[in-house]
Amino acid sequence: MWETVRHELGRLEWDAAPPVTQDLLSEWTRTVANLVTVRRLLGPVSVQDPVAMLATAATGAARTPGAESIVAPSLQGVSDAITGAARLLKVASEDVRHSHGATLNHVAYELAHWVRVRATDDRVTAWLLAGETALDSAIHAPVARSTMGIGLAAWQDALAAVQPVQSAPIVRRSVALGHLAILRNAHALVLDAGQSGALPRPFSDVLLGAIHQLARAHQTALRQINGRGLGSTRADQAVMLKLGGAVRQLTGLFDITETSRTRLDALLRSSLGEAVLVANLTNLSGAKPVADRIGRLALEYLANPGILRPTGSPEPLSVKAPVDRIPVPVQERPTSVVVGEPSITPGTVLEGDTITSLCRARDLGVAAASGDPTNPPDNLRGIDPSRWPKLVVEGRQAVTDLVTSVIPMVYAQTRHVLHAADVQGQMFVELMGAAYRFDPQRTAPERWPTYAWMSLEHIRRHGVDQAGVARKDSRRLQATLVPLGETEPASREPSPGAAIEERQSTEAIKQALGRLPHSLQGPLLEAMHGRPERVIAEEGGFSESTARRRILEARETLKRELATHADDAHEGPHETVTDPALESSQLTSEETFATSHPEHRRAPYR
Amino acid sequence: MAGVVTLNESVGRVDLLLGQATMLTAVRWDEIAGMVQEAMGIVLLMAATRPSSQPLEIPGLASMSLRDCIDQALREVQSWDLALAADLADLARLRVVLSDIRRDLDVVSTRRG
Repeated sequence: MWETVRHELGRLEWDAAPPVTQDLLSEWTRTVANLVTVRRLLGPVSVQDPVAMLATAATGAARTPGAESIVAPSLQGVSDAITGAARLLKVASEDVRHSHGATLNHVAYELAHWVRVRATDDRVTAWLLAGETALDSAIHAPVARSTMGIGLAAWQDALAAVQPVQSAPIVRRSVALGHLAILRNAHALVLDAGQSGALPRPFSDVLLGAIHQLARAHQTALRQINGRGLGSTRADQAVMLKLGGAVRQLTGLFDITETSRTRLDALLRSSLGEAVLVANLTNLSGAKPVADRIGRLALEYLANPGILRPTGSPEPLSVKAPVDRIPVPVQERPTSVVVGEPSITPGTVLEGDTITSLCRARDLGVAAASGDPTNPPDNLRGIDPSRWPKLVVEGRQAVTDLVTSVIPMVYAQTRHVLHAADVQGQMFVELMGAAYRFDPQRTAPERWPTYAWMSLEHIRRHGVDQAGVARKDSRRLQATLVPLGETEPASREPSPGAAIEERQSTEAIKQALGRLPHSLQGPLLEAMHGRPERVIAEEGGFSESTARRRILEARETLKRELATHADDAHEGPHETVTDPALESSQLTSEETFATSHPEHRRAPYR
Repeated sequence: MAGVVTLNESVGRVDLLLGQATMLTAVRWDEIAGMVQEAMGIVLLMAATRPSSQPLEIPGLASMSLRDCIDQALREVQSWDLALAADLADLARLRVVLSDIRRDLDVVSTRRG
């Protein structure tokens, strides 16, 4: 059913001389209409449906005043293919239709991204990103419908509707007023989540700061709009009704059955009510960078929705469980400590024992927050459930102190960095995660600062940049370009031992390369110099797929050869020294990268 | 017809007053500011439903305090025929919210003494 669509998507990517359109946005609008047709065949479409939100975003993008036409490969083929899929779905049974929802979202997401990266106008890009984000979160972190989500979808729809009349003061005023209401909602929820520990404190603090700044920018915008004659400004009444209706939905009494977590989740997924689009509409220069910051924080959240944990302390512990009254020794902390506030000064060097007890307090807190008193987890056995809430508080305090002990690293890592405040926000979140992950049983407790530093390095190299794009691992890019000729490969952190080892490895690789048959050796050497497979194929006089196959085969052969070499080396007479510190560092590194490397999670989209 | 025009203008004036009130409380995060925004949300929709065809002006609007805006908006809303509730679903809520804001502002100013 989707075969033709798949084929056309492939053509978009690979066709060397594709048919070109002079107006990509018009074609995109038609393509989205076809996607909506398919979606309708699958069942009723709510306003919060990602494809419906994609349609809204496409409308917003198409209505952006003054945006230049985008010349790009034509979407006609893929659009027709989607129409074909719709025809097939129409005659399929209802059961079959339902199974195609996920495929539709994936196709729509891929196309939305394809179009977005070709947009040249920032305002158009912001709209396209809104649609892409809706699909992204539906695919990667789906949630049930929520009243707040529906209100925010209506808000996005209204923003798309006001595009053609956005220069009217009454429209800009209404958008600013409506967005202030959203910011107020968000402020209350983020503040609460930060205080209760549901959101990492550094993340909530940075977000609150951005909300304050954006509210101030809206205030300035409102002050600049002359109220005189606003009532007689001609703006399309249907548009104003849509805007007014959306604002009313968001300022009315909220659904009491909806948890604050659900509401905050919806707000974050909507990039706090499409802050970037609002900043573009109100056209106030001060609002734009702050809105961008909110957008990036929302992206951070989407990449890791787990940072918003279930709120509050555990449920009342009324169940009487058989317990051993002998308490496990837990380090008592002064009762005057305010949770969320560190009890140590930033940068305090903690001793190994202190770090171990902080980690123990943290683990007990985590277990107490989610444990079942009738079947307590191992580390809580013997502790009266009535003490669990206190353990939760102590656990959070322990994490705060762990983070505080290494917090100067964030500033050290971001010195001279462009958009330091944003990177710092990401780093605070990462540090919080590291404080939860660090295991003093696996790694010496005093290595906590090293572990934290590596986590920050990871963010610095792999985080999301100011454009919302994942930073590339520069080391890997360099690695593919290291020549194997006469030049001795440079080590990033040279040490005599490393240099010798590296020289031996290089020698082994060169020998293994020399033993390869010429048909494999040539393409591999070319590829190692960064030449595209297409060029290698042209020069070698064979097809691209043959080039690819030969490179692959050469690599496999080399890998086998070098594995044999390594085995031989290990079996050799020279002494093998295992440094426990190095091994521990390696373990830490693997653990860090395994848990937080973007490629090991889902790709961080933008 | 004249009555309709008058009502639409009155709605427009309340819209302007509550817009000013919202602007004044834009960077306040307390209960009062929340209620001001709820009232503004109601009026924004009312004003969209009943757009005024006349240029509207409230003398001294830019220099009005929050208290002045709320007082004047409440007076304006209380002048509307209660039978309008059939047309304006949120009329009662608007009256209640404006009255609550006024009372809370009284409490705050009494506390400050």
